[in-house]
Formats: sequence, structure tokens, C-alpha cells
Amino acid sequence: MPLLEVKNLNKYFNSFHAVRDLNFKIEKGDVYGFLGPNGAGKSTSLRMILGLIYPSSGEIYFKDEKITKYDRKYLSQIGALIERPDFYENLSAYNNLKIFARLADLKEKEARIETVLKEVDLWDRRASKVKTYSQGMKQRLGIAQALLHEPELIILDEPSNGLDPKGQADMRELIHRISSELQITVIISSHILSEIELIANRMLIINKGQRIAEGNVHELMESMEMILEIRATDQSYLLEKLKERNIIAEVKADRVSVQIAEAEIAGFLKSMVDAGVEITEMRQIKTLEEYFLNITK
Amino acid sequence: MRQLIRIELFKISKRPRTYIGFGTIAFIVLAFEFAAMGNGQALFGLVFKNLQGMFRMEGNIINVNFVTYLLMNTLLFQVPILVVLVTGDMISGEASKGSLRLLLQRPYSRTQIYFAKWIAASIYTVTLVLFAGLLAYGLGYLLFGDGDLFVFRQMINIINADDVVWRFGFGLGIGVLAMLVVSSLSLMISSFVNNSIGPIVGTIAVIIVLTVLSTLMVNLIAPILPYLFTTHFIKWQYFFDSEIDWPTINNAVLVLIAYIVVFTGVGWWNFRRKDILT
Repeated sequence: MPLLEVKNLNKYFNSFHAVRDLNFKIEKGDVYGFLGPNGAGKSTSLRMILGLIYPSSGEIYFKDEKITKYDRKYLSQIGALIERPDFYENLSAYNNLKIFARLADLKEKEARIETVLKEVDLWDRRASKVKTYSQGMKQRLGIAQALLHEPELIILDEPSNGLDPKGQADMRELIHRISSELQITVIISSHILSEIELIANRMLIINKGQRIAEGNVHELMESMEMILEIRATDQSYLLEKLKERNIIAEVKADRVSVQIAEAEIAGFLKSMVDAGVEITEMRQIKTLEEYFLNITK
Repeated sequence: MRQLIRIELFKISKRPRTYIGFGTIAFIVLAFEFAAMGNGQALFGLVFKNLQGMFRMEGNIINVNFVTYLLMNTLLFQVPILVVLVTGDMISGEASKGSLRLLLQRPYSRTQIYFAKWIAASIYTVTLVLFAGLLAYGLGYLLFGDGDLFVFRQMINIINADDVVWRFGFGLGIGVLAMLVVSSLSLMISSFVNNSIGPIVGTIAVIIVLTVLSTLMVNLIAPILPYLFTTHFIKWQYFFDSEIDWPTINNAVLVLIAYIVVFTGVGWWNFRRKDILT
């Protein structure tokens, strides 16, 4: 039984079709990457899961139970941080969490608030007003808020937005901990492929509201085609061997560029060496980000 | 639901602007009553300027009842603004700051959230109106003592001191209803917009426009005048007639309640169906 399943989800904003026939499943224990450029429909989809935006059509199931427009019970099992972490700025972190603890009707509010604030390393700053917090601290408080009621699923929409590299690394570590130590299923959206690659085990690539690709992150990475730039001592011999293998090549001055799947690179190089091609230099010039940009164009 | 209402009241209590309302009313009441204490006869003369030569008035004319009655007339114009300052952005302010998103991610229906906000807004409104009334009367009693009330409506009414307090109580009741219309209207507008200032300016603009219309264009809009809520804001004064016009008062109560129901209903309907995009 998938923890969350989305079937044929559509959302129109007047005539603008923001999400188109979106389908995906999230299993318990997944760290599910939701990847797409800005405006791809990621936040809209996540907001539909949370009942902040109503779908125009389609179905969402949480633990095999269909979510209806007015059904809100399932939200007690979901924690979320959507876009910016917005709190009551004139209240302290502790008082903010107290509000959410009351909303969640937690039995031992103080103990739970202490646990999550320690989890995100904000316990020492619990009495400070949120307006004095840095962006990174607000993001961590956002995650504390999402963890407060011990959810089964946590949804993080662009959690690294506005963070410096150190903050991004801390955030990744925190998400790893949430998944591995707390055993919470995570959906994380981002427009940065490398971020998803480092965190997620499965991912969905979305663009213009449509699903582009979905599956295991490493399998998807391996199936991605790279561009290799090769320089050989005898360029014409190299071109001849490429032609024999039906590999399309493009000559750029003293280099030859070929397009090849990442998983096939090792085999391709061995065959070239076996055929007597003397490769003096090779560069993988198409990055994963370029691939992502290419397929989401 | 009770938890939601407590949270909304907690949020109201933590906002500095909540205390602006109470502070402003306290300032107006103190300033007015101390001014009346220093120059009460002049104040009385201002109200009854055409009649002073016609009657001989004796006794404690500038008393708690007279001062409270004048203050209630004055506060009629300030209290709506002070109410709207707090209730106007209870939804839109949270939408613009993003905290509404966090609230709606919790397992409460939008109906529960809207009505929790409405009840909290109403509690604030009632508290503010009662504070105004009680402070005006309490301080007035200390400063001026009791006495018969002279009011000038179509004619001069002299109401015995023993017969005044209940009239203030009922008058305050109408005032509470009128201010609940204001808070319901501002909460309704708040459900439609995503900025903090819109509902505050919008509600005040509606009140000003309707008040100006009903004051300056009486003949032109006479048929709809009984249906404008601002027309009934001053119906509390009817309790100070020698013969109380109960049908008119009952009608005012009904119209005000109808507006509260309509504004609340429209706001709830919109809040329930709107997409949260902020």
C-alpha cells in the first residue's frame, strides 16, 4: 500500500493549466524528490496534497483513503513546510510551537517542543522572537513545526531556498536524519537536481505541470545521456570507428563530441581502446543540470 | 474548536495593535471627562446652546449620565476604526505573512477556522465596546457623581437618575451589535484579499461612504435608508426618548443581526472555497 498516491491530478487557474494529469506514488520510507524548474507546478501539487489548493480534477489517496475536499483528518499525519517558513514574528520560537502543539492537541506539549527544538538545534534560542532569526534558523524552525506532531509524512517545499552552502549542507543532513533515524517518509521539492540527487532515493521530474520522468534516482541518472568531448591522436580514425558503431559524432575543431548514456560510458571507452584509438583527452561536458535544463525546456 | 478560539485570542493578545484600541479609548475618555470637569458648563452650553435662555436649570446637570451620553456619541466614530484595526487582517494579514498556510495545514476544517476567528474577533469587539462604556461610566461616576440626564433629541428629555442605567445597558447592546457588523464586514473582506491593509481601509471606506450617503442624500436614497446598517448605528439613542420606540429599535436589531449573518456567511463561503496561494 503506497503511503500517498496521486491519480490524474489537474489544476486550472482560470484558463491556465498549472498541473496536468499528474500521477505518482510514494511508498513508506521514501525520500521522494519533486524536481522541476520554477513555475513547473511543484508547489501547486504539494499544496493540493495539503488541501491548501483544491484540485480541478483527479484524486489523492493517503494510505489508500481518498482525500475529499472537506476531509482534514489525514493532515494530522502530515507535517509540511511550504515555501517560506512563515511564523508569528512577534512571538518566540517556543510560543510559535506552542500554538502548533495546541492545534495538534498534543498531550505532552512542553516535552515535545523541547525534543523538536533540540532536533533542529534551536533549543538555546527558544525564547528569541522569530523576527530575530536568520533565514536558516527559520527554515529549521519550519522543520521543527512540521515534526512536532510526529507525522508519518513530511513535505518540504524548497527547504534550501535562501540558504548559504553551509546552511544547505546542514539542511541535507537534517533531512537524512529525519528519514533514517525518525523513519519519516519525506517529499522534498527542489529546482536543483544535485540537491535531489544527494537526498532522494526516488524522484519525479515535472515541467509545465506535466510529469517528465519518474523512478529511482540512480537509475534515472544512469539513463541520462551525457555529452563526451574526446581528443584523439588520429581524429579521422576515431571518427571512422564511431561511424562503424553507428555513434553520431560532431567535430568541434580538434575535438569530437558524442552523446552517450552515462551507464554506457565505460563500455564505449573500452571498445575505442580495443579498436586502437589513442585517446589523449576526454571531458564530460554535459552536466546533470544541463540534462535537466534540456528535458524541461 | 475551543482550542482554535483560544489560539486566536492568544494571537490577538500578543499583537501590539490590540492595545492601541484600549489605549485610544482610555485616552479619549480621560481627556473628555477631565475637560468636562474643568469646563462642564461650557460643554453643556454647547449642547443646549439654543435653550439656555429659555429654562432655569438647577442641580447636578454635568453628571455621569450626561458625560457618558456625550461620550457614547463621540466614540461611535472612533470605535469602528479601532475594531477594524484588529479584526480586519485576521485572515488577510495571516495570508500575506504566510502563517495562514501553516494554520490550514492542520486537521481543522476551514469552517472551524473561520468561525474560530469570527468568535475571537467578536470577543475582542464586545470587550472593546464594554471597556469604552464601563470606563466612561465608571470614571464619570467618580468625577461627576449621579444625576438626572438631560438629552436633546426632538425635544428635551429629562430622565430620572434611577431610570438611566438600564438605558445605557441596552444602548451599549445596540452598540455591540453595530460593532459586530463592523467586525463581520472586515473579516469578510479579509477573506477575499491577501494583504493586511485592504480590509482595514475597505471597511472604513464602506462605513464612511454609507454614513455620508445617509447624511447628505437622505431624500435620494430614502427608500434604502432603513436597510443600510450605518443607519442603525445611532439607534441606541432611541433608548433615551421619554417614550421608547420599540418597533424601531427591534427593526434596528433585526437589520444589524441580518448584516452580521450575511457578512459572516459570505466570508465563510469564500474562505471555504478559496485556494491558498500565498
